[in-house]
Amino acid sequence: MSIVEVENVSKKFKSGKKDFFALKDVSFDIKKGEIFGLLGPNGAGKSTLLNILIGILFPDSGNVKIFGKNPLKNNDLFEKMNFVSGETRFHWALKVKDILEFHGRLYGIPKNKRITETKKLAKFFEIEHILENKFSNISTGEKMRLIMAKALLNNPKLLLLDEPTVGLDPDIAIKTRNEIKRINKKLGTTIILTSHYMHEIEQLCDRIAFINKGVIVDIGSVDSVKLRKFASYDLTIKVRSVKNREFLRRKGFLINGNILRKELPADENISETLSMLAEKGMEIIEIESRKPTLEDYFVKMLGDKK
Amino acid sequence: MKLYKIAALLYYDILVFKNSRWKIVEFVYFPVTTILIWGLFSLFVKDMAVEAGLVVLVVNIFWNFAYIAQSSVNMQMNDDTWSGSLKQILITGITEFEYLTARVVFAILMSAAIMTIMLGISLYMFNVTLIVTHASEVLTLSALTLFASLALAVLLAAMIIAAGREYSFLAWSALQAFILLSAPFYPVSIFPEPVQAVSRLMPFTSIFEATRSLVSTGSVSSAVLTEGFLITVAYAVFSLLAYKIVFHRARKTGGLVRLT
Repeated sequence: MSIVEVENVSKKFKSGKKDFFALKDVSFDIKKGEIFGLLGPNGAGKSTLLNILIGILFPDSGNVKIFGKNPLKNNDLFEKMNFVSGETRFHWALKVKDILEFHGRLYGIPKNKRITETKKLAKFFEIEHILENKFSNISTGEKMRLIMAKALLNNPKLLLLDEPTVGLDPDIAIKTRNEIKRINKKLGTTIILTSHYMHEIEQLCDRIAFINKGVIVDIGSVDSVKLRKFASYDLTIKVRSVKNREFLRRKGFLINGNILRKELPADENISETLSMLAEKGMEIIEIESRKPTLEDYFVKMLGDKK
Repeated sequence: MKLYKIAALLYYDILVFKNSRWKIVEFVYFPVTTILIWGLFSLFVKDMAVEAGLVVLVVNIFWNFAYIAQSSVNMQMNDDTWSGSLKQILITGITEFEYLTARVVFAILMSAAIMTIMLGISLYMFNVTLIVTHASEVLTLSALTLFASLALAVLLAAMIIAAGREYSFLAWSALQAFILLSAPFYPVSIFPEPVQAVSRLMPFTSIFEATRSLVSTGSVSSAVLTEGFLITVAYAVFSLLAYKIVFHRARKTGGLVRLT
């Protein structure tokens, strides 16, 4: 079942006297329980897309369905969702506990549940000690932890996270990522994630869409999109001594001293190559294989589009 | 309309007010000191022009009442924009009218409390007895002032949403122009003729005319009140329509995104 269906969505804005497409015929859907990553450079259209999904921006054309319904005609849907970004701010004069209490009330969470959820989330995100502090007096990391706590307050079925770990200390960022994974697995929460940390997307997302200049240029699982861009990966092997040089050259190895280099097809297993070397009597000292990362993919995608 | 959303926003407004010292200065200090200044002036001119002193004081009460009612709606909205919390409020599925209703309820509570203080000071410190002797007229004028101020607040909210956050200053400045054209201390006839026509269309003109009449003759013409009421109803209908259209348009053009 699709939780989010986006069909031929376009959005134009004016820049000076010219119109430009922030989104052009964007279509995709997100299945229940998926973590879906949106990748793309600044100004690609990710925020426009998120703003349309959270209902504060109308598309010029196309359809958006959330939980099978048009959100613009079913306001209740927004209570099953939540959205936070690294730029989320709350009123500077409010205390942390008041911010959580206020949003709990705004989502219509019953009093007892509000209290238990607030306690649970404050403990998890380690903000118990700042509950009495005003928003203006807490650190960037504490703000981000509060923002994450607020995002989970209404147990959302669909969670939109725009740069959720920006500004967090590494240990809290790891905890946050684990929590994102945990709520996805345990509660089946569907998540849309944008991040500039490629390892975060790689670690969390089931599928990604690469968006550039308002157009989705690639979509699929992390492995499949990488495979489309990188047909091979580099393998470097250090051996005690090189034997059968001609054979190795025929097999595509570059030889430099006792170091062998080869470009392997992305779907070829490394163990076959190692067995072959062992059969030829070579003692392997060190192996280094460099498979392309999502960061490589991102750079290559941008390079291709320029 | 979901009452829990309105109640949540009201809870939020009260918390923000409680925790913001400058808001207490804005909404309590200025009206109270203004009434003290003009109250003392009315005492000073008692032997020279008792009526003029009273007119200035009573009109100032209604003017400040109007300012508190109108500005608390618009300033709370400005606060949401300035603090960056508007987006987090809107994404909960709150409708534009639930959002507005909460701010209107808060403005009514706030302005009623300040009005009570201003009337109390005027009665006990400056012996403005008409507050008691003509309580029903004062109450009627207060209700009409509140209605007109809230209609104006909705119109200003629409204007700020349409024009963007750099026009937030309308929240605390626009009323001044409306008051000027509403002939607070002087009759409409004082204006050049073309301005008189504009003045007649101001929602506060009838209120001030009735206030001056109450102070000088002890009575208020029901025709003037009816005229004021009808003009205010027209303002309210126009303002609500403008607010709805502008909010919808801001969602189409991206104005709402820029505001958040």
